[in-house]
Amino acid sequence: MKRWWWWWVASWDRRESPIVLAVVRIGVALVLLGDFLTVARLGLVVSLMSPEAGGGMGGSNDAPWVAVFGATPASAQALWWVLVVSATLLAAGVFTRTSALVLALASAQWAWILPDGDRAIDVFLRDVLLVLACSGAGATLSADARFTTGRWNGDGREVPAWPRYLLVLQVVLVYFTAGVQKFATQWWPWGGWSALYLILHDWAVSRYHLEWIGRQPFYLSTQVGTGMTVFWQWTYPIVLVHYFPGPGAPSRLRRFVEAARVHLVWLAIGITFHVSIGLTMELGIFPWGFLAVYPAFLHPDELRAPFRWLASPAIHRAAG
Amino acid sequence: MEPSRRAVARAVLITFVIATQVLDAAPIPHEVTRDHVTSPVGREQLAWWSARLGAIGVAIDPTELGERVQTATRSMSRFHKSLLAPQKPIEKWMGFGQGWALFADPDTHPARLSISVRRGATWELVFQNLDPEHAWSDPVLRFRRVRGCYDAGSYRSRPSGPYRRFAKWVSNRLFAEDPTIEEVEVRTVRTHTTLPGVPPDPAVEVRHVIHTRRPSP
Repeated sequence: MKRWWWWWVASWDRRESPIVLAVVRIGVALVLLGDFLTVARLGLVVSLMSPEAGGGMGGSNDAPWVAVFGATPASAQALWWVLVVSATLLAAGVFTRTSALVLALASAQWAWILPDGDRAIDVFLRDVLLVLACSGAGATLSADARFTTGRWNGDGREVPAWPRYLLVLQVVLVYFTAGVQKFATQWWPWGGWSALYLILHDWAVSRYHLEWIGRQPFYLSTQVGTGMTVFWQWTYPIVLVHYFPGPGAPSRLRRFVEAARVHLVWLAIGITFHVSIGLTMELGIFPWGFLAVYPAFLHPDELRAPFRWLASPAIHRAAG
Repeated sequence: MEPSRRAVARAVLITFVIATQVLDAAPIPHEVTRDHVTSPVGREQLAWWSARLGAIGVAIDPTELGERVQTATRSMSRFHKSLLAPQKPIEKWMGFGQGWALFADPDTHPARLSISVRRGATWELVFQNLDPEHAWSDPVLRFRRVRGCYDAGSYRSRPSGPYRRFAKWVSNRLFAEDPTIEEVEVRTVRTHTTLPGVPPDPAVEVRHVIHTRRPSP
């Protein structure tokens, strides 16, 4: 028992380069910023950030933002500016932790004002922001690093790695619980693996009229996609063997996971899954928000590997 | 080597956070209401399960199964909520959460939003989901946050509060845009998606109709 407890403590005491957390920070901030700018471009700031009394779609509620600043268009615009400024500062790494916290809290106020407009991706990204607010994500690729070390990429000091592992756990929790809650028959063989076909015919979420997917081989591809989605989500926790290798000699499962690089294979399936969603469904930032967090699945060395490979003398020789 | 106190304190705190979040994310079914079991999707699922249970010797008709599902999920949902009650205020202020039933129930009877306007005695369709001929404010109405206001409660027997506010908001936009519009109708049309090999079902059900007349000056 003690051995496992010490292993658990040591797992959360690891340190590493802040580069991965910085990349996640920039990605998440830019995705959110893009969403806020879309709201403004569509002329929806007041509509989505104000209760009915202020010209919006929000119900009468006790959101502290409305209680303090009132149910007016100006109050809605002020909330939008807080979101935009905090997302910009987070992307640039200015007062990184404070910016992440302010962004999460302001987004929570928005959710309070218009709960039906707050989607799963918004909750997920707030979860991520709260982890980033406790992390060393501003220690590189940031103005904070420039102020404190004189260099944009920091002084090379390592930071606690636990926020990255917590983000890994968060994503695994999302996929696994989404998988095991797929109770409907259409996700299973006895429902004809027809879930994706049905979802792509849902007027509200489908991006296009996809009548042709009822023909073969397209229908078969939706059935394969349905089966793959369930299998991938149910088995996602297997990647934890890589991120939290238990104490003692590696088990057969761990040796297989490492040899087959299962964590990278599952990640590649996830990229395909989210890009496919982005191309066929009208879910806004949902796919891009998840992909912005995906770098957390890479160790800093894995993140740098492609760049090292590109810079290697062998590649330069091959390129002439 | 024995871990430092700081490392132990951090591990304890992280363990607490993980435990509370896993509890929140626990795949416990949401409360299934009468609106759920009487919707076409609910009726289909109950009929399927009733037939399968009958095949293994558990005779229960879909209506009774629906009532039992409602009772069981109500109890489970209340128990889950009571466990989460202490963290709910913090969750609301900080905006975190862990409910991830993403597309758990694909909709065999999806709702299609439809908006019409009246000038004099003539009605004109101005918007219908995925209809390029009638695409007034299409990017706005299909934006995910706006969609949530009219689509999330489409299974309900009556229009939800957000849907009513959405209808009022859409009407006000149309009135402001075109002074000749006298009345706006917002409704959803429930269609039936059949699988390949099954004859298409042309039947539609018009639901959640809300008429808004231009306010008197």
